[in-house]
Amino acid sequence: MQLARIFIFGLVTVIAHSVSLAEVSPVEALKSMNDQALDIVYGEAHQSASPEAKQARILEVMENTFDLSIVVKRAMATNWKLLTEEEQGKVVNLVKKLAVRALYQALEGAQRPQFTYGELIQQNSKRAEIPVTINTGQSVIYVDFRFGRMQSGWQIFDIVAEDVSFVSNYRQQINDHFRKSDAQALIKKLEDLLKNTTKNEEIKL
Amino acid sequence: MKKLSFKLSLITCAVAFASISVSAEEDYISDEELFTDDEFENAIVVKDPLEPINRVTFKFNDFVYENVLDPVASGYQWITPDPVEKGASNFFKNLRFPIRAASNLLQGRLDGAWVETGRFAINSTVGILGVNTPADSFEGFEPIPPEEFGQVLGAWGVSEGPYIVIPFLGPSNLRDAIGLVGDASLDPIREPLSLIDNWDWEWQFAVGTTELIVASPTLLDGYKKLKGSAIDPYSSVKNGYTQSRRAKIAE
Repeated sequence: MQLARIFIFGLVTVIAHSVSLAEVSPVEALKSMNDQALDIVYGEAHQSASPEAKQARILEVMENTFDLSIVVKRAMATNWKLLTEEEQGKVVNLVKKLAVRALYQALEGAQRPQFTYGELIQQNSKRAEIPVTINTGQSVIYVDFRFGRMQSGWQIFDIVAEDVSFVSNYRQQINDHFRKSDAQALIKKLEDLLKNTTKNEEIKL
Repeated sequence: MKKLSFKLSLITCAVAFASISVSAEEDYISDEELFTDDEFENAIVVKDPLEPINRVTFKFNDFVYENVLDPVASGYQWITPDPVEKGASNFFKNLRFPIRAASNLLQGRLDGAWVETGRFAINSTVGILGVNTPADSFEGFEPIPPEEFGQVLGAWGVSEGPYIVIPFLGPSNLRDAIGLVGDASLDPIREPLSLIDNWDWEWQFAVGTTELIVASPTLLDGYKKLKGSAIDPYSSVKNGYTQSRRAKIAE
């Protein structure tokens, strides 16, 4: 009787621990995040909100779903270690805001796009991807959301839109930047870019 | 006895936790792996020995795109109803059929050449000179990614060569620039329309310019997307172009 109790107690503990480790499916998390973001851009509830407020809300939704610092760290690659902890925090925040602004500007003024989610493709126990087709009404865009399994659960590792990887693209820019400049200049560039809502000053003739 | 059962319970729990932790550790990506992932390192090596010249050309092109092409594209979109815009774009795409068909054949893609030929036949007749694309709804003749000579050279194993920015045309590399010569030789605006009486350079220029205006909204859209949130727009366009070309050739 006593042994049975011990066994049940152990079993309950294992189950409880497993439940705590159980991860939300990346497909469901992605769908939920995208739907909420689209509701913010197109939904009536947010119609009166300013573009800045909407962008802040979208960022909040994204951060509640995934740890976006991971994708920024991957874009920074080995340059990440050239930054102090404070600089790292600043860069993460600035890149996140820039990415959300780019997303918002791509959606603003257009009709609500239709997302079609493919099956989760699990490459191995640590890597997975979800192919998504986005129909904007004008064109069809193919996007792969790539995930990595971290201690904190499945996290977005990269977004590949029409064969162009976000991580690779930013990594190129950041590598090129660090060949000639430093972390402070990068932060200044990102801040300037965020302030400048229309054109990039660097490419004026 | 009670003490013994309590101890046994603790040991059971500890063993259970330990076994879970050990097996789970192996299934997670470590922080170190975030930065040492060579999946991307290979993708971003772009030979760019002409970077100083390319950057100047990039600035020149950007000035032209912002101040000439963008207003033209916006004006064109403003005065042209969407169906007309779509029809004009379809017409010019259909006209470039010889480039796509030949490029498929030169890569040994007989299926691709067949689909392109079928689409051209259907769209040129039922679709009224390619203005409409009824072939989209014919089974087996749905749109396929367009092929051109740069891709043919890539498929034949010709390496990219250095990255170059061509005045007005934008990002390219040596191989793709040579491919443009091949495309031009099959461009129907030059041949076979030259067989038409009075098809002189003024007509070619007028039709070529119209084609550019019609294509400008799409061209600028892609360019702006890469440039939009870029820390370094030159690097962003260079990387985006190269990734896109490598993926097309690998397909």
